[in-house]
Amino acid sequence: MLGEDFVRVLYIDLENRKADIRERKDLYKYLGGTGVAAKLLEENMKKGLPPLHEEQPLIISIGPLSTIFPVVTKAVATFISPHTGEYGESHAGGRLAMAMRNAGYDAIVITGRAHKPTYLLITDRNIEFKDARAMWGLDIEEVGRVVREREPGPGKRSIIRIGRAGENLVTYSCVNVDTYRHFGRLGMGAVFGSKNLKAMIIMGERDLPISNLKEYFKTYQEIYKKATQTDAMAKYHELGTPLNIKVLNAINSLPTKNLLQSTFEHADDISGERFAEKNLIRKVSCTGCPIGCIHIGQFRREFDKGYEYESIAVSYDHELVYALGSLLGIRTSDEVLEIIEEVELAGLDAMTTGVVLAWATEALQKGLITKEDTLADLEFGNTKEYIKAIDYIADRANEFYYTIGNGLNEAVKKYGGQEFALLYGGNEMAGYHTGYGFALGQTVGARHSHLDNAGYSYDQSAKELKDEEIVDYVIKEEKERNVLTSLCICLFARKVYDRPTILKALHSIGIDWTDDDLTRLGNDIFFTKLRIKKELGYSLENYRFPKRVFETPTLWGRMDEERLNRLLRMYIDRVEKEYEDWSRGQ
Amino acid sequence: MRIGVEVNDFFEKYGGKTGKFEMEIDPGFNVQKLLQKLNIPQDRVGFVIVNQKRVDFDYVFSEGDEVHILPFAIGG
Repeated sequence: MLGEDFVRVLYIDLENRKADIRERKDLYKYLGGTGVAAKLLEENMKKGLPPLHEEQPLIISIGPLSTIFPVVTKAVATFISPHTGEYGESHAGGRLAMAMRNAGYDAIVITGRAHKPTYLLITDRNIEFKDARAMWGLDIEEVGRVVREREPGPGKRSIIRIGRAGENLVTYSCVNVDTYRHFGRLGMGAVFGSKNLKAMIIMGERDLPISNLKEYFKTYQEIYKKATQTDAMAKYHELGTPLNIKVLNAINSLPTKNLLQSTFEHADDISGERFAEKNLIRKVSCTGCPIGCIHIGQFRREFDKGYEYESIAVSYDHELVYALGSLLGIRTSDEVLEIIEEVELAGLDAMTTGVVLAWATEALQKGLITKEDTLADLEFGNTKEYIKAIDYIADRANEFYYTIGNGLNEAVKKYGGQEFALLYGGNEMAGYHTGYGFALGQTVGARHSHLDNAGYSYDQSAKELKDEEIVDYVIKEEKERNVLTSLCICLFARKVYDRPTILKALHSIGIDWTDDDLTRLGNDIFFTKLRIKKELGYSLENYRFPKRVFETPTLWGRMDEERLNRLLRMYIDRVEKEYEDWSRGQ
Repeated sequence: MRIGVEVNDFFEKYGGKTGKFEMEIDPGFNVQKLLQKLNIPQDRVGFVIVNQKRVDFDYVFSEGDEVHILPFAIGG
């Protein structure tokens, strides 16, 4: 809590419609974000129960710097992932961090299942459990509109909600945050659905008690200048992350057509440059960010005969253009946006949806499944059929869609095709087929996200590949990123927030930490997450990489399966040893 | 001798030429000199690809080389 030495946690029990607030001094040493959220998950999770059991908790946390410093915009959620069955963590921007800050809650813990569909109104004054029966079944856009019309506070509130996919417990359903941002990965939408929770509206009017305004303002200005007047973040504003499409395509690293290829003949047509020329209509920011990295693209759709058109705007970035573009062989930027819109409305994670559909396309080609299963003529490049399939996933239209609604891990158990199911550590692959760093990084990352440890970055900047160095990089980077995400700093701003800058920012609001404290924090969070994972039965022993990732060239040529397995072994041995030492020290 | 050059739009902000074009160069001309001529800061360059292969800054061009200059891909 700003100006205090405790973390203010709001506990909400949906079952009994009760709320409680506790001031937790013991959590203060984890600062906030991923640190506090991981600890609260560990305390509240029920390891013997399934991920979507009503007693399982859902946690959202912000940090001490949230919203009051530039680009400190994220809220971190933790839960047990219905997708992987183990540690679930997802991050989102938008207005949520600001709204939680203004409402006076550093963290929110939600348990229980509401007796009927419910939406929560959370303010600094009260918590209301509201009837959402009329909203059940509505898509993301509709439920957003209904909530906006019913509730007060435009401009200051955050509205987070699920679509049909979340209601139907699709294990890769997302939670939409203020229209353009998401808790995307690992199925937080299904956790909402399992709790009969359709939406949350958060807002407040609390003061921000900053004791040394002079020092705070000076520090803020320094960081603001660094963020806006240096090259540190410029590329995120310019073309944004879709600048990657042309780059990855040129270096054999753009997963295409279920990774049958790592270059795409239509890459230029779905590149960041092409989106900027044809579709980009504005750039927006999360609250508290001066950068404007959220790129909004528009496409035109004929909705009726007689020249009836509508224009539709959706946000796009690299991961979406990869998963719903190159990976599905989609040839134009307009069509990519059309598919993104369908995924958005249904409330699905774009990355997993794309990877699942790419697998299904190849499985259909190979005869592992039939048209009776897919109900749609899935073929690379066929936008209309993919749009149908997205709806079928969200609605769990038949047995096949029910199965793939639980992700590729489940799909291959029933239908086969494990060798071309693009999974790393149980989660569908992100859009960087750059080599060993990426492959190892996503596999071992705590949330199986490419952003856990940025292995793709190692692959690109290394002059030669050294096994020890890869393992070392992945571990060190993940610990360092735990520091950044415990403070809810957007990872795009990692070059702005080096250690001295973080310490200065903390000092300016009365938190006198040292560099060693930050190192301790990164380490503690790293191993706390591992402890949670172990409690939930997670292990990488006997892990098998899908064959496909070795068949298609990367930036470093074809990966060698033996070498990647060796890297994984080295990682496991090193982390286990460090974990033992850390556990003894606890 | 002539080489084909493709400069990613990312480098537009540095004021040099971007897109695809051909250049007349002298023998011994290398990547470093090309970057200088195009006003591209070396520390902003992620990849220099010549004829589909990644090369270093000291690579010396041959007649007909196709060079592609790109930034690093970023996390998203």
